[in-house]
Amino acid sequence: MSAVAQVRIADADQKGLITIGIADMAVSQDPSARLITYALGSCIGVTLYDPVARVGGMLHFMLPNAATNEAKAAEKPGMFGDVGIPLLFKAAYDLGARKERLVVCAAGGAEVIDDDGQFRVGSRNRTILRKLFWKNNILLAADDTGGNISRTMSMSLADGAVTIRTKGTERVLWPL
Amino acid sequence: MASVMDFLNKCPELPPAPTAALRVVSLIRSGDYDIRQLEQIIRVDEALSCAVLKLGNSAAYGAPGRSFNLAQCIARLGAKTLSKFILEQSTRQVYHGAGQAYGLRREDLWRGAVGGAIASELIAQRQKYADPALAYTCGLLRDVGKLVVEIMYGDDTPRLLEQASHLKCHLERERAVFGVDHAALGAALAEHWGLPAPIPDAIRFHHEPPTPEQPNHDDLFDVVHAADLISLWAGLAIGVDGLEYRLAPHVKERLHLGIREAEFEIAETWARVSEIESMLEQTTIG
Repeated sequence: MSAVAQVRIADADQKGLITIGIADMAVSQDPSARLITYALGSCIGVTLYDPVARVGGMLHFMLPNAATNEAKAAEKPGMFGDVGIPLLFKAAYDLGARKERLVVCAAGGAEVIDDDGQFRVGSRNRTILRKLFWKNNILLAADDTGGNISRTMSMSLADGAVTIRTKGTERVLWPL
Repeated sequence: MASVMDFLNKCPELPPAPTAALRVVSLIRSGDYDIRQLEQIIRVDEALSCAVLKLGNSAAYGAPGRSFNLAQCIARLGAKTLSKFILEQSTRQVYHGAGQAYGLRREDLWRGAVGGAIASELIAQRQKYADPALAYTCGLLRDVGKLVVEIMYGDDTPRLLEQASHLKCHLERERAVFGVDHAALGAALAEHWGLPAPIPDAIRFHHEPPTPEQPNHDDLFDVVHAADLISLWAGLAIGVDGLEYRLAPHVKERLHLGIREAEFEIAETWARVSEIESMLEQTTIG
């Protein structure tokens, strides 16, 4: 199956939003749209944007490795970072994005308070992200990860600006 | 305990109990029931009757030919499916529209409730705990105390809790600011609704289960606690409280819960919540 078949190519709703649910991903060339994903806890939101092709995409993955549950990975590849992230990039390339122009941001990867640190689901998600990016020579333009907080991440497809809202306060993550 | 009751007494109105659901579940759990008795309870609740008729006629359960007979639909579903379906429907009504006090979006509190219920059942089955259905019910109701916080403080809740922002755990912040936390409030509400033991205690201890050395330790409380975290890791009902809750150290060992098991259960829980959500969408009237 092609990447495009597994990743939604979306247009904005009446409010101008493309909402990315959990285990969901989409790419778009609609310059009036804003990609948004709500309430990232230990999950990670990844955005990418090509300012020349005006292609943007977002993924909200829940767990690092598809090997955890192959059946679920086949049904919902966006659930896992190791299969969801490559698919998101491929879908953006299919719409004309180029790797060397991509601005990539990430947010989420929070933890519960686990005093002996055995259950760091957020940290495992952050690790798979960095491992994949390292291996593929992709630099994160900006990220806001870790802690115990919830984050809502959004990206404007007009200019690729990424914002993070936490506890009612919004700030620009990119451009820096 | 006095402060919890004071708090409930000050509450202008308490959330209504999911009466029909609790009666159906208690009847099925007693083992001494027939379809007529179930029908009598369900038929007085119009929305529930319609939902059962629709599910009984859905592709998954429908025998050839449509049936508008409630008793026939109940028989098609069977006791286990019926009790879970009714609990899910009724708690959806109880949690409906709530969650603003925790910065949640519409229906998120209910999604988190169902996630906790499914994870409780999964862990209970894996652990061969005696009663996965009881674990399911406790997981579903564990956050009803948040409804009481919402009625008392509404949208103002996050701002009020900022006064205790120096405290790391959300439960500690609730106790510092309100004098009581949502787990204790939920237990008191469950008692007020007349829910039998050990459900109120499973709600009370869902964030802080007693250790095995403590006299009130119960494996059920450990199961519901672990399920609460699985539901958070599955991204269900992440509000302004984020992931600001503690994982009780003894629970990992008691439940043989490693990171692999937890991640498997996170994926399963999320997928099953999505399935239930789409099933309820198809059976909701209006």
